[in-house]
Amino acid sequence: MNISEELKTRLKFISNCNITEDVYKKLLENTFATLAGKSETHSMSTLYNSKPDLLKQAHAILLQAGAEFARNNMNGDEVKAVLTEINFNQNRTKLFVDLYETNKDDVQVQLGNIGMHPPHIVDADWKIDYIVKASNLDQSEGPIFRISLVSSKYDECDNERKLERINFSCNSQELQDLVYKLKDAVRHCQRLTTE
Amino acid sequence: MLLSLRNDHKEHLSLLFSHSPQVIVDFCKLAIDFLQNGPNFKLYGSASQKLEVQPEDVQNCVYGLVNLLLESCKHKLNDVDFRDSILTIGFSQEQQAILSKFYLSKRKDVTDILSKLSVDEPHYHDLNWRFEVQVASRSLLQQVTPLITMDLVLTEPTDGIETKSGTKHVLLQTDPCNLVHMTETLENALIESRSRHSRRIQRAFNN
Repeated sequence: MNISEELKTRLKFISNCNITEDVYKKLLENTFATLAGKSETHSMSTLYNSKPDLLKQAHAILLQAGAEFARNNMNGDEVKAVLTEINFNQNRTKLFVDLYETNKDDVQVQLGNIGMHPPHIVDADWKIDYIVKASNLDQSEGPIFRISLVSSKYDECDNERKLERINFSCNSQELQDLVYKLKDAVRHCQRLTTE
Repeated sequence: MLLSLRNDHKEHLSLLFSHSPQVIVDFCKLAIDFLQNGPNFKLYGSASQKLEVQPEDVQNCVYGLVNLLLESCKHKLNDVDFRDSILTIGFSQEQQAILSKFYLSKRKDVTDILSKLSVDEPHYHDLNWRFEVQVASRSLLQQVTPLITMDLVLTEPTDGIETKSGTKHVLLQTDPCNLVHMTETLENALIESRSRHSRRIQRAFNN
């Protein structure tokens, strides 16, 4: 198991700390909602009441544990083994494992999105133009394809994914060339899946 | 089609009407030099001394010749139309022969440049792709994520008359699903351009 001793020590803090089962459940639900990229189901300020420091610490530990388990791609049983090893009571272990298993895929998708990627193409738009006349040349020309590739890119300043367009134009032969190359790539992918 | 010139343009060219073919040839050379290297006031100065006219007149005459060339190329005049236009302006047969030669020798280059001027957005040049599988990242240790990374090479128009255009590499990636979608979409564009509707429009414009 790749779980560090440090994390285990921290988890022990939760197994010993004095929070009610109800608060633990809500805290856990919030944790997995955050990790899966959804909005929190319970308002944190109502959970805090008299022990904000304790709850903050517990929340942080749960977030770390959830992320770490998903990062290592652990299954429910492995998580259960870790939690039992550090004396989580049965109820808390079960709650954790259940929520972990339902949210694991979403969490892993979120984790997979973290990192350095070139812009990811999600769509393509096109239009066909014919030039009838231009300011500096009496020449009808066409078809000209105006292509716009829609790519999604993580914007570091605004902390969110943003759509970015890559615009270019090409004539028939060039588009034919582009489509041919893309089809080549598609064929390659298909061959890999059938093998 | 006959070229109709503005009056001041005709006036600038009228300097040449009374001169020998050799002078016309020299002025064509000056115009070609202008196209390649821009104005050269020293040459205009010495030419004006020889012809005993003002330097500005020589300069305007060279500009007039270049403008004549541009207008003719712009309207895609053929040999006969160009000859008729030149004779209408007031040049003699002999002078017209020289100017026609000048027009025919430079027509292709100028038309090429003019057609490039209208392109104002990046143009497709090449596409390279590779298929990769991402097996791990810092935040997700075990994964199998198929990715297609592409290098889209675009030629970008540069400002002004410069004919050289720079290439730009755009690094992109996509997943197989989006790749299929994108390919289908672009192929549809290609198919559409060969449809009856598109072909009919194209024919209408060409006539």
